[in-house]
Amino acid sequence: MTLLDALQIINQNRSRRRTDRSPSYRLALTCGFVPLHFKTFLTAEMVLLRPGTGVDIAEGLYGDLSGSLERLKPETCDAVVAVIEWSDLDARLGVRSTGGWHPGSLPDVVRTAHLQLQRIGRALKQLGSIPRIVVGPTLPLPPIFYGRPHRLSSSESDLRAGLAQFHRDLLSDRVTVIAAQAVDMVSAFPNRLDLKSELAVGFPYTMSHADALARLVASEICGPVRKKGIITDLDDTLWRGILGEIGVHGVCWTLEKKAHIHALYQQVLNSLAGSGTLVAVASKNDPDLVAEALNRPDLLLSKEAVFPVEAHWGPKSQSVARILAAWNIAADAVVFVDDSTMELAEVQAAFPEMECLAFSRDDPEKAWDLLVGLRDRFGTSDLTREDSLRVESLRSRAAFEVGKESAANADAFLRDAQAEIVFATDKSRDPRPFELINKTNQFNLNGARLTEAEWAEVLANHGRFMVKATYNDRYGPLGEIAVLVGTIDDGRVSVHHWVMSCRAFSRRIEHRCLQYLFQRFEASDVLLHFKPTPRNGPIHEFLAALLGSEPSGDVHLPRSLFEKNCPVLYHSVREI
Amino acid sequence: MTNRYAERLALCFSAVFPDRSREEILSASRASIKEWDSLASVTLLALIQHEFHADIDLFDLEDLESFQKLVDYLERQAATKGGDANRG
Repeated sequence: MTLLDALQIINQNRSRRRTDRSPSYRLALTCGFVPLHFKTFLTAEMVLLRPGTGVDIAEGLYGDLSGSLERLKPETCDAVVAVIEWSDLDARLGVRSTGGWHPGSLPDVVRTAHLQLQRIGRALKQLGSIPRIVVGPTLPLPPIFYGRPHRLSSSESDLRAGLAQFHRDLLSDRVTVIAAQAVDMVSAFPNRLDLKSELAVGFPYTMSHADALARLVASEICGPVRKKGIITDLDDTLWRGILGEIGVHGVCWTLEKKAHIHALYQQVLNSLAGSGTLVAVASKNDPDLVAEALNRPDLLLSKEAVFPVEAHWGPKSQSVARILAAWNIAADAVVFVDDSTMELAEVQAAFPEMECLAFSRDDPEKAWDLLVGLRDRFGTSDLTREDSLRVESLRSRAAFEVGKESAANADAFLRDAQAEIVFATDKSRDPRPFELINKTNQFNLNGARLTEAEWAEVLANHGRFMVKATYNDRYGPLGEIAVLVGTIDDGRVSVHHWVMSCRAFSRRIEHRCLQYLFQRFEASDVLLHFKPTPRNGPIHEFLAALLGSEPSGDVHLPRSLFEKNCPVLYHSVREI
Repeated sequence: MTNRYAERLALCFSAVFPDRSREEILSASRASIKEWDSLASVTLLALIQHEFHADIDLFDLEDLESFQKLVDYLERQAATKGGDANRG
């Protein structure tokens, strides 16, 4: 993007929004330099990622990064970005200061930098209720050290050690730190500093660096929603070779067989599965051979991590459809990987919303890009208990469905399921409820999403309750699968957010949640702030069955009506 | 519009001063455009350098206080350097 492009994007967005009264996204940009073109690029990149949304970027004071952070009030912005350069840690580490580069001053420079990092860290901690993103330093250190520039000096080492500890502390405080390697990937180190501009106007970045860094920061602020599942092909994708031709022990993924890229792919899939990504197989193959091959002890992808496995000779799109049904998630949350362009095209035609990616078995560079791209699509900052339970609970769900079909009737089946629901009302800093609210589509009361700031308000506000439900039955645990957030006024419970994982359907958990609300709060009436969305059909149907009529907006549910229409509930209930 | 420098320069001015009409831009000067402050000057300079592949010194920019003076400057630079500013 050129500066002219960026300005035109901003101006067009401003024109479009002249009549739009929706609130703009408010970003606080703190840096020690004049933000100038970086601010322009950042605004334009955010506009591109949030079409139709206004973006207001407020900047701090020149030369006072930590002071700007300390003065910032979290209620005035939706997120804060701190761009740190060496000169913010000690002016002598910049080029606009003449504070002295005498060797005798180096210990003091290092000490000052460490103190300044602590000050910045404290200020960021105070802003804990809003998303905080930190990047930098991105520019080269000046020739301040007395050794030759290519040799690491003890002073530089101390400086970098302090920075590493600062970043580590930020991560503990849930601040997002943009990795130096990510900046290196998009902006060549020698092309970052514009010394002429820095000396003339106090803006230290070349245009290319400002553009690249802005794109990186913008993608962190308003990046894509994390994908949920990956469906992989087997032959010449998960392993090298055609299983049906060379057999279970003929397919390979080793260095010796020049097939190591498949081993790396297996490792990435195994890691993704371990961090909560669903992994399934869609392969045109003999199912018995596939089962045997997936059982090979040297496979780097755990067979327990894969569910389901669709191996047959029918079209891949049929396999994908069955996998989506087993996972009960939408196609746009899934990535399909195959080495065959024909298979990719067939699946893409059947599922236009799905991302279909090619595995290049003979081009390691392209395969590497795929592996990095998968991390980008499935990356998560928190590992929750539900992440490790996800595949297990899907298997439980499949077993549950099989059991349901073979039972005499639904009631007999549910009675024998030995289900237990645990309700908790604590507002601990458990990331799961926030994650559930922001990713659940089908059983979602109104589709409303929450920012981190709004979530912090929910947790801090004593007038708001939160109910979390954890489920387990004889088929296995589902983990924490439902969250309700609301308020109580004069005996009436108002529910503003209610989401339940699609894995938990058909168990009457939603009925038990409502019953719990009536009993826990001794309510005579529950007001559900329902709003139909294109995807919340399941909760719509549930409410219609309870009410005996189609809901279209807020639902007033008297306790008497709920009790009249609620089916028999067989779960045991525990409260913690 | 008298020449192609003016046409392209007007595009740069429009990006920096989006609320100004074409007529206002063609006759723009620091005195007539209140938004033309030092930051706007730096942005204009960056745009012109990129769009015209021109190397304008910041000290020269101090004297280039109107749209027409910038057009004249770019024409002069193209004539003396044989070049870059003619690209387009």
